[in-house]
Amino acid sequence: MNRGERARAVTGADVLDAALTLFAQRGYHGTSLKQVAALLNISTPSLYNHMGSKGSLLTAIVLDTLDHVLADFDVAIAGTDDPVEQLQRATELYALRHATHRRETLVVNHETVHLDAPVRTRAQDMRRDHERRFRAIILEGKRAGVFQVKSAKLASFAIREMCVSIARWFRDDGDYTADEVARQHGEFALGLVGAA
Amino acid sequence: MAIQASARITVTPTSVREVALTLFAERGYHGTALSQIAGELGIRTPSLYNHMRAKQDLLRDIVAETTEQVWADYVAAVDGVDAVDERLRRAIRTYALRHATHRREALIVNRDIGSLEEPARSQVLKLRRRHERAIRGLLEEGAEDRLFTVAAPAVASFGILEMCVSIARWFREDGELTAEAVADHHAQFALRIAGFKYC
Repeated sequence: MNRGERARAVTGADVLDAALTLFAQRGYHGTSLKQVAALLNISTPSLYNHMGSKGSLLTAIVLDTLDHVLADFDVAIAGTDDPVEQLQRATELYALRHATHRRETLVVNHETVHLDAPVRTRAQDMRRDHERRFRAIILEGKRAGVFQVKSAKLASFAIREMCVSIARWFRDDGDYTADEVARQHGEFALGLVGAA
Repeated sequence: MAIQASARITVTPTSVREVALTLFAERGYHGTALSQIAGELGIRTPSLYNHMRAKQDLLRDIVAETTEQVWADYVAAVDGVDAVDERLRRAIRTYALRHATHRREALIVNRDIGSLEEPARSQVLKLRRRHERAIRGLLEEGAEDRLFTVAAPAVASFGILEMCVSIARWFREDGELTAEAVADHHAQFALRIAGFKYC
């Protein structure tokens, strides 16, 4: 589409990025398509040249982010059977994503409930899958006698939520870099499970 | 004021607050209309104003009182305790416990502070910061005494507090663990994150 009056054509990616910013700041229900359009300096009807609906923007953001979270997990546990190493790496990558993709992870954590039924179920299944696989590392560490923790479930919740919260407090100009925060959380996780 | 024969319960400021607590926690402050609060109470929206001044006041009271309670919990927990590891254990135990026993309040504080108007918002944030600094102070003190090995007390204090906050999101009274047991586990997690050797 040629828009001679604009310096640069608005793309689907731009629309997604603007929606991401607004959903993270104001919530899905607190954001109107009018505001998304205003941020892009286009009219609300022209938005529809680049997207299906407000709901489809949320769907794209949530599913894409969860895909990445699960892919991170695969990377983290690949190439080692050692539960200590797996837990440390899985925690580091999960923490890192919450420091480097704050808008995405905030939207996943606050707005998944607003997805339409089939997509919501899919997103919830993906999150449960991540939690279950995360917990499996802790259970394996307990079985192998390298972790000393009574409740693998509670430990898994605590570690994951600690990482999730990074998206709420982390600042790029803060005292610690995203990598440092991720490394710290890897250590917290090993401490928390009582790694030998 | 005429007594409304149709009212299901006697409406008092306390019952208004109770309903607001439930709805704000479920739907968020902005997602809750006064007409919904009135609807839950079986009264008309204008009659609500006999029992409260504004939606913002309901939010402010809930958030301010909860935040003050968190600080009072902390002060009571560490009062007269000498050992820093024991102070950390008690401080986190009481914080975790409150998030299991007062889930609605905790959810609202964590999600809707941004909807508070000034000066209430700054006051609440200041009190929360004081609590976070106190926890961080315990971690620093323990690290100085070489009881804790934690390298970044500021990061650890956020992590410890936020894992407790999350309890409000997942805890269920009919779950496997009691609120007290969950609180005990989290107190131990905190000491382990701090790198306390004897736990």
